[in-house]
Amino acid sequence: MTDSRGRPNTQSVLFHEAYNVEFPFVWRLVRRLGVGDSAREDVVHDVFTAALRSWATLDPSKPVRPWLYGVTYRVVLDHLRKHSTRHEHATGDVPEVESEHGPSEAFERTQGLTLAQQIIERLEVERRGVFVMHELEGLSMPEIAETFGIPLNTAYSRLRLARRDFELAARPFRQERAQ
Amino acid sequence: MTPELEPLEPFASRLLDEERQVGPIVDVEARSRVLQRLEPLVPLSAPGGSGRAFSLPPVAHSMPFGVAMLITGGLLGAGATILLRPPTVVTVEVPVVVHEAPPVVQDPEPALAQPEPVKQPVAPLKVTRAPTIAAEQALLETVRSALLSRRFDEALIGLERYQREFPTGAMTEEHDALEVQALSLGSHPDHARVRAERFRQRYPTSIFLPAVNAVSPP
Repeated sequence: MTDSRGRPNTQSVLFHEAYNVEFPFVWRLVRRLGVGDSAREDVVHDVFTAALRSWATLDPSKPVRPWLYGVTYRVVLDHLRKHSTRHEHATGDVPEVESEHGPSEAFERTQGLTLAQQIIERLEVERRGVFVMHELEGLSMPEIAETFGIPLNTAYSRLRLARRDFELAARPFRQERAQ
Repeated sequence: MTPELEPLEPFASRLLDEERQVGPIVDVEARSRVLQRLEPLVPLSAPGGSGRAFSLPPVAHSMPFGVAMLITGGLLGAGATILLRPPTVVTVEVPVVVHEAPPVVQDPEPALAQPEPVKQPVAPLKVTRAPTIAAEQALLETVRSALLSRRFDEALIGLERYQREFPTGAMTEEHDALEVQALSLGSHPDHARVRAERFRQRYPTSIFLPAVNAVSPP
């Protein structure tokens, strides 16, 4: 990534730019995929380290984000498998919520966010990956299949199961909040 | 053929909607810390040495500082520009209310003029300034995306548009830095050199200076 005089080349500059733009998205994705607060910074660091190492393989004709999300998913999966016995919620830093209808609605929304995140964390990890990428990050299913290296039908199957699991897990809280 | 998905139950759907509204999470300190940890792996950012992921040739003594600035400059990006700039960059027609300006830690650009003495507090300033900066930021964001995707001509078009639409914009400094990068990466080294020289004269203490020097050294 340097030229013969040790100056940064195009790749290096582009990596810095990518880091700059994509960091907030990667940070959010890592949280959504269920990495706890205390480990998040290390995981994000591992994501960009992995991205840097395989930067040359990035197809310049394609956008960076889906590729980076694929890297993020693999790093997070690896992290969660290694640390599956020590469970820590990723919801400690639920983003601050403001509401034009006052603090009580803001409080409800915060509770909703926490609940959504907790339910997502309880999804089986591979289903969760597809679910988060599609439902929250807005990737198309073909993009997800390509990013994860799985057949499109498998991607749809995981999504369908994750949606069902999400609904089932949300139902008791629906009744609780309605009371 | 795309398989059909059943719609989610309303409550589950509402929960997801709340999570969808969470924007990208900008934790500037974490971003800075992570980049510092990445620095040994990023070839441009450290003098040569063994045991690194990439082997680096020796560089000038001033390089580590310059690189640190490049990293910091890149990191802080548009947000930093807004925070660190004095309020004069907004417009010359509108009197600036000093106590409404963002808390400036340190003026990175002493060459800029100081605000005119305040005659009267003007309330609408906040209202007019924010959308302009947001629009400027959005436009420069598209430029940055174009650069990332190696669409250098598109980046240059965006930069020209910025100049046209925001001739006295608050983010001119970042615009100028991006322009040098776009010209340099887009195979216009001669133009890049001229612009880089002008940038160094205009903004001798800019946080973007290392980024400019990286693509077009003095």
